[in-house]
Amino acid sequence: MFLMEIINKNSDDKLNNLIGESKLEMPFSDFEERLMSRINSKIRDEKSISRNIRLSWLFFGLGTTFGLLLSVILSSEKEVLGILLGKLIMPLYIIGGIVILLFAEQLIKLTINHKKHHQIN
Amino acid sequence: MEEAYIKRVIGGDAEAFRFLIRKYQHMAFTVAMSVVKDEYTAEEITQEAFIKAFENLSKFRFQSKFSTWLYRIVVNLAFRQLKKLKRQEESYFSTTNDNFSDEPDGFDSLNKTDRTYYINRVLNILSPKESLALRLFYLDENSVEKVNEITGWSASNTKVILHRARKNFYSALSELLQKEVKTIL
Repeated sequence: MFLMEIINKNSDDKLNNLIGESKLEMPFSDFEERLMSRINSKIRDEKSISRNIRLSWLFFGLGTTFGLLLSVILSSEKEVLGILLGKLIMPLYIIGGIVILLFAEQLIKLTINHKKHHQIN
Repeated sequence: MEEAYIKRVIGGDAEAFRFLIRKYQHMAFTVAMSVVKDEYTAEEITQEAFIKAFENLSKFRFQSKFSTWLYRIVVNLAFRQLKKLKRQEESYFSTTNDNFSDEPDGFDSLNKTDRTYYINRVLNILSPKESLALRLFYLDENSVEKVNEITGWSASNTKVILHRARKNFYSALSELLQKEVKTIL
């Protein structure tokens, strides 16, 4: 048992020396520069995506506010082309509600995914 | 030192990542080469691994060494690429030779450049798992536990692969040198 350990130890030392000579050098001298340029371009893309998401939230907010204001105006008893505006309100509420929910879902998903996958910056 | 650079990168200083690239690019490339055996593919994998590491650096918890974490990414990408290329992962040797000889006679008398050349040729001949195990264990001087952490193999699996790799390494080296001698004569 002891002898086997010595044999294994000697064999290990020899291999240590042999494999120690097998470390490879990166053969492409511009590796670092190319990699850094890819990283910098990723950071730029990242910033642009973040800005677009912020803009999307802004316009979503503006659109929702505008929709609410419109629904208040429509709920009045005025008549346009012989149609009572108050009668149009229910279908518009439904359509508007669905659109708001769909957009909100997409935006939330986008924001969460973006934060999950790109935590740097 | 290394931790400070990692924290700087997490804080938004991308240039600090250069330190990690300079320090680990050669070993990361060596690890990738052990698996894919092709310089261009290995370089691509090394690049992808560094980018993945950069993107996920904030998830790095400093519980293990950065090198262990990076090499694990390299190994995963390399084996995924190998699967894509549908290369044979089987060993060069269909059966392992139990009566393997130790280091071939006269190998010591070769100069360093020749020795490095033959060793790397043999490591290219060995199966991806075998050459990876040898390089991680002997070249980067990792323990069996660290090799397990990097490769995701079980302890017993690593020991078996290392045992087979040692045998095959010597056999392949002897065979290669004999062939070279025959060619010269």
